[in-house]
Amino acid sequence: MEDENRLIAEETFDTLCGTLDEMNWNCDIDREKLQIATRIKSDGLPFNLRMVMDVEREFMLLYATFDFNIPVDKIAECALCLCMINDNLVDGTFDLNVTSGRLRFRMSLSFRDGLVSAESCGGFLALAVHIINEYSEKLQMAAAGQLSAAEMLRYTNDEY
Amino acid sequence: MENTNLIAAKKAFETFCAMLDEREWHYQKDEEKLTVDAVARGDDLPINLRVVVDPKCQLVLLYSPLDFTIPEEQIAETAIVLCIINDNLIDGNFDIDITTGRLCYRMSMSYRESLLSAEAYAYFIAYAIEVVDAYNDKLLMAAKGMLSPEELLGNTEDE
Repeated sequence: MEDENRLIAEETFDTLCGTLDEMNWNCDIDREKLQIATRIKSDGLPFNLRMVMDVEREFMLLYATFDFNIPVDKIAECALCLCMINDNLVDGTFDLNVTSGRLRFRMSLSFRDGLVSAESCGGFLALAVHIINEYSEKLQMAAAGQLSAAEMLRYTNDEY
Repeated sequence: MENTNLIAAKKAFETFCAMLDEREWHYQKDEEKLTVDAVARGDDLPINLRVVVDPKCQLVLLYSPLDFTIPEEQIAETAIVLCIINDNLIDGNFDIDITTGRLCYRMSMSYRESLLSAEAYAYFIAYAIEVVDAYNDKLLMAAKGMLSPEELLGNTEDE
């Protein structure tokens, strides 16, 4: 069963690599660890993206991390901001390590049933990048003390 | 395209309901809205489950609203508690509406270009129940002001 899962994970990994290739993304690929790392510079802030196949749980995990951390004195305010953002999302979540201030975006795609198409991988990546671009600058502003939880609430309520 | 999406959504909904039937779950379904409501028995608190098939996003969405809300004076502290919990999860997350104090666990599965099996849905439900069951009592304590972020951090480090 473990071997079978590994084969499916490898197949999904190849599909993902093919999708990234078609999108002309330059990636560091580690086929042994079934892991891909890349740096995204698109509409919003640049961020690091890591995608890894979880063979045991049979899903692909996407993690995005940013070039800034949340300072200790802004953790409480940013925790509120994160909760507001997450409550607005249909898929994926922003995580905050409250001891280190590390911020990340996390999303998953199951390959439990074997076949994950290139379209599915492409849609998954596009949605993740869209969500990150939507909120990363706001989170950087919150980290810098330039955006309060009250202002974030107005933003997430589409009042801007 | 819209019609194709709806056909795929209905197929996903049927497979999901068939999985519940096979496991003799009691549930309410709305075939128009493609929603299923059920209650699972947790170790301590009951676990509400609402599953929605979203044709537009091609996602099966699972929401598990908790039976209690966070009082206004505990919202700020609970937001930090939620960050600690969510940062430890592999899949899904707990959401809070900071204006109402409503808490909900959320998880999703994409059926884009694929037909998810009953086994995949069974795993989906089982995982959600496990996570909610692991944390709903802690969140209830946080709601009552009986669990601080510092105490939770101590617990999660132990785990």
